[in-house]
Amino acid sequence: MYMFKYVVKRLLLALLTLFIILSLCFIFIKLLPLPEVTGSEEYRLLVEMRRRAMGYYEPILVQLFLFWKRILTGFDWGYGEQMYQVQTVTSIIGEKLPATIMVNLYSLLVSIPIGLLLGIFAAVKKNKWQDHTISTLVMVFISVPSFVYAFFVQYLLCAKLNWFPLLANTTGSYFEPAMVYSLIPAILSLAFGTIAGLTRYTRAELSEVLTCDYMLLARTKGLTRRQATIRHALRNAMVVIFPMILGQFMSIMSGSLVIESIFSIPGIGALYVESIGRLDYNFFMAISAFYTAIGLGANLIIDLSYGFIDPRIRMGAR
Amino acid sequence: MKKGLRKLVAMTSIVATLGAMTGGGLVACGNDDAGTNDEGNYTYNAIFSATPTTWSSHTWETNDDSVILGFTTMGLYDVQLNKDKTSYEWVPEMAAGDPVDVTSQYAGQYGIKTGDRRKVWEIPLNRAATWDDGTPITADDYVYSMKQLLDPDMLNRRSDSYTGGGFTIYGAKNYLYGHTPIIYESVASHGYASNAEAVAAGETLYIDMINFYGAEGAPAVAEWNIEYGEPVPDPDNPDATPTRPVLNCSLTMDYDKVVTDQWTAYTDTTMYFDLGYFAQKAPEYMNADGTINTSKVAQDKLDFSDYLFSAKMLYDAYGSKDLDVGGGAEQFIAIKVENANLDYSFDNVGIKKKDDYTIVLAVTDEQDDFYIKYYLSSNWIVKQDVYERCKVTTGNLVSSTYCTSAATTPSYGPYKLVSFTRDSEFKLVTNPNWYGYTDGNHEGQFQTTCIKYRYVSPQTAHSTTKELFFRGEVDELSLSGASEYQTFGTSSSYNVYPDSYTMQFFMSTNSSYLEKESSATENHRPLQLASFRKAISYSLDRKAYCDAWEPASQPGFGLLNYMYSIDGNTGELYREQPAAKKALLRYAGFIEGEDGKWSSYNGTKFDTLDEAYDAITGYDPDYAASLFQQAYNEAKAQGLYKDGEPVVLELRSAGQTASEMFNGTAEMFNKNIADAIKKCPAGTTFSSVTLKVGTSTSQAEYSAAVKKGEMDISFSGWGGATFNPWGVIYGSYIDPANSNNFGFDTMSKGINITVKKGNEEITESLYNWARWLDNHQDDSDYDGGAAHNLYKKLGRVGEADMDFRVEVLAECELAQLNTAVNIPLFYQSTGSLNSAKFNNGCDQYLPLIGFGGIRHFEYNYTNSEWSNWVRQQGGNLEDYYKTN
Repeated sequence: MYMFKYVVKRLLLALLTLFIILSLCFIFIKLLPLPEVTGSEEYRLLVEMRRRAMGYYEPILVQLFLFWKRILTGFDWGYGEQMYQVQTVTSIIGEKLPATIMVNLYSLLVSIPIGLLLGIFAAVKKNKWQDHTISTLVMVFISVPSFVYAFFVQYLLCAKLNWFPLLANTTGSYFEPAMVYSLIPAILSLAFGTIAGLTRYTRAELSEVLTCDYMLLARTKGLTRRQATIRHALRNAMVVIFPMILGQFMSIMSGSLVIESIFSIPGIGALYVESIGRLDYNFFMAISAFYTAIGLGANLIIDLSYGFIDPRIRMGAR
Repeated sequence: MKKGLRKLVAMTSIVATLGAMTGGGLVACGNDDAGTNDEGNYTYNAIFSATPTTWSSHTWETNDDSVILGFTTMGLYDVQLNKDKTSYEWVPEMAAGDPVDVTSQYAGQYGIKTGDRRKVWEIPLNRAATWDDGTPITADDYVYSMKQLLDPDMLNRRSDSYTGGGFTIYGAKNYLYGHTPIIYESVASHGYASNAEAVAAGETLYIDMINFYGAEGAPAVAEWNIEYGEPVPDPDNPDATPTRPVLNCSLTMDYDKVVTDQWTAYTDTTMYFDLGYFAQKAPEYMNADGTINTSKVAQDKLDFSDYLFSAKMLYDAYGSKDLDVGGGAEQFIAIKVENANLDYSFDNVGIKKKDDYTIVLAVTDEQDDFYIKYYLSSNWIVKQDVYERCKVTTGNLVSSTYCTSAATTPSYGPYKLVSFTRDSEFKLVTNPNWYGYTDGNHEGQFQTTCIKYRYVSPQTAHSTTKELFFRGEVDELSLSGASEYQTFGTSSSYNVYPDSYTMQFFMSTNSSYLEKESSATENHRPLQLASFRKAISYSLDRKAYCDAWEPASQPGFGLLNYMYSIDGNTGELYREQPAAKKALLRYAGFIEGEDGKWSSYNGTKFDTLDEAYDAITGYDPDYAASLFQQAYNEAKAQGLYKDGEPVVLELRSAGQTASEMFNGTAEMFNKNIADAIKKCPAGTTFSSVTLKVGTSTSQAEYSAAVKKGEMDISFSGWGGATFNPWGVIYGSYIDPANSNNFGFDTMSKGINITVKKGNEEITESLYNWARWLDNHQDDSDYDGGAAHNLYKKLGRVGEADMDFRVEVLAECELAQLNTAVNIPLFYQSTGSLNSAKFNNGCDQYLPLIGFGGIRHFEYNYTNSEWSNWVRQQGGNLEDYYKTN
């Protein structure tokens, strides 16, 4: 019951936060001047008329009211004025989201087991040459921006060795072998950073847990080192690591501007930046809402996950 | 142990399953295959870096949008290569024959007066034309589609093609704005040359307070002066009753009256206060929480009036420059017009069905044979059932998502869109229901059976395209950089695509600006001398410049390059006319002898006009040296220069100037000028003239500065429509409403031109001649306007003898060149490699049709043959294109 109340409370708070953030975004964006219209006299007049018809010259609070009314009554976020003209914002986001999700998902499926295993291995072999090697590579992949190794992957695997096509094939089903194959360079480029992050995190957490007194107790009661590590150390370390993995899952929808650009993946990564650059307010608002909702949802799920992973943690209990 | 491992595996499995569930059933975004995908034998592969978003003829916006439109639609008329492939010819496509002038039958209708001609046209329609599903296209489609295009509830973006400009359909604008009670129209559209002229004529102007000044929500200020402290006597009038001093620090805001009306009369004196503007201008008076620090305001006795504004103040500050006609912000000032045509009926619009296969179009301006076909080479028809199905409403605006995906793209052109994946790929294949494949009029045309465009991000576009081109996977590669031009410039697959622009140095003649910029170490003043600017012009080695920076471009000497055609029907080129050649020879310092032979400045004689013309290089250091000496003497005499002062000029452009190209331009400029100055005996000219690259300039700043001539030298290109050379001189260089005449007021300079007409010599100003030439269709300026006298003598320009018109144009070009305000550098072109898979329709680039386009591709290989051939070359064609 405590949990249920807690979840309801958090959900309501999340909705309130979403409302406040979006209202503020809307007001601030409307304080900016509208994009300049260039072109013939007829064209400028026409655009003026269109803006008037869409209520762009109503007082801001009236516009805000209409904005929420349209969303709450018909989930109408408007359509593109500066980009993807005439098409609804939601349809464009809906079209571009799957590419982003799938590429990131494949990347995570590769990254998580490798990252965890490398982290565990490094922790177990702490301060030995294996640990030093892994830690050095981790530092390299964390320090170097993703676009650097993305370019390197493309150059080496696609251009020089010719193992993969230069451009990702994104016109069929995302489960077709040909498409998955063409996505491998992008998946690898995305995976390097995540693997490095997970490895470092797992190693750090596990190293700490492995030195705890209860690990000594576990060994003294007769468990082997491997048994103690997996049953006790890893489980405790996962309290911290698992929320990170969940966070990664939520963030897969945010996309990667650089990787998507380099491998020509029609994802959502560039959409937010483009909407700001081209002053398309409808897109900006819809994508802001999307990311805000993801952020709030991710926080909620991560908080709740603590209780599931470690039963000692109870949410909402007095 | 095993249990632990199982948990780990289970956890990973959960993650994988979750992922699979999330992605389950997903297909690539937007891939809405609309039919057969058969590529056939000949596939054309291309690259795009900006996705088309809407390619409906009612809403398309960008060149990227129009790509698909170009394949899936067809105009009523179109151009194709003539039989010997030396020029283009007009052919009816969706029309069944030439348009017929029926104006005389419509006197009293559509604003037609007795005696009017070429304003109402009957167009017979092609009876074989169908949509891609086989549905016949009839006159009803044309009328329905125009009604939708002009729908007052849709306000389609492309409606402006028919409500203004050269091809205005009668009543179209009235219908389009039939639901708009008030229209704010630009000052220029009412025929005023300036805001002052409009005000003098009794017009009330309105300022767009929201868009121009960003003043939305700013509250009105009822009072901003308060009295404070003890009364003190007036030192100038000790007998007067002491009064309390006034402190301008208190604001009484009227929050009930804020700027919400977009348009406010220019005389409105209501004062507004904008906190954002205040915070920006006086941050020291702001608290951290965004409120005003009132105690500091009182302490400093801040005068708030500096931070208030009214519509009147804005007009007084900007109305004679930025907001004025031709100013950078002219769209933010307007004349309010009450719409007298509310709920205008579409029945009054100048389009109607005569019978199932004939439409009648009534336009407001006379159209000649070329222009009527040119304008009708774009089509406006949409398929009714799909268009209606795609309609959506947002706010008060209705839109149609027609032509935003493959499923919503009916075709009536040679190709149909079969798949479209946003930001990834789109594909078109042969439309089997296109009449052209069976009508016998398109033999050998449209051999391509599939057109495939793939997306490459702009950041990596060139390198990726290059790699794909050499693999044989892409069929065109735009070259970039001098080394690529050197490597592939001799390939048989190399093509040069010229455009109509001449890149030029624009030079300031604004003496007060040049004076202001000058100091003891930098003298900018000599630039105001025409002799000095001409000296610069003849110093420049244009060929060396092109070789280094613009390998595809040609050195340029004229304002109009070799793209402009004097007759749209035949494609005859202006630059090839004797008068046009002579004008450039005279500008280059060549002299025509009494025997008709030409000699250059240094005395070289040429037997024919063409020989002399071919010898122009625009680079003549000797002539430049003599001009520098002349300029030096003039500068000394006018007090613009003292011996030993370094002359320094600044080069600026819109956007980024800190580039290798700009630095290289300055480097070449300085070397060329130094070479010319070295040819002058010591003490007879300027000690040094150097060009430095200025800092980056935003587009807005740049436009404002160009308009006023407030930068030394600008680098940019101007031109116009290649089939209308007549309007280029006025439109690009003289029109005061344009911002590119660099503050040089042609009207006030008294530049006269004399042109012989028969035995009569006609002398008029450059401005009036250029205006007369520009009035190709619009006769508004003939009625008491600038070209009135010429109109009385010569009639409309369209009625004048072609040789005479060319003579006038050449004289105008020469006169403008002689002002030396703008110095041509090169005729802009780009180069590219075409795939060896096919040949272009012709070898020479032709106006309007280029190399013939996809209509005339001749394939050397089928798809499978091509793959085999590429494989035989080792999978990489780079060496092939280097040597073939």
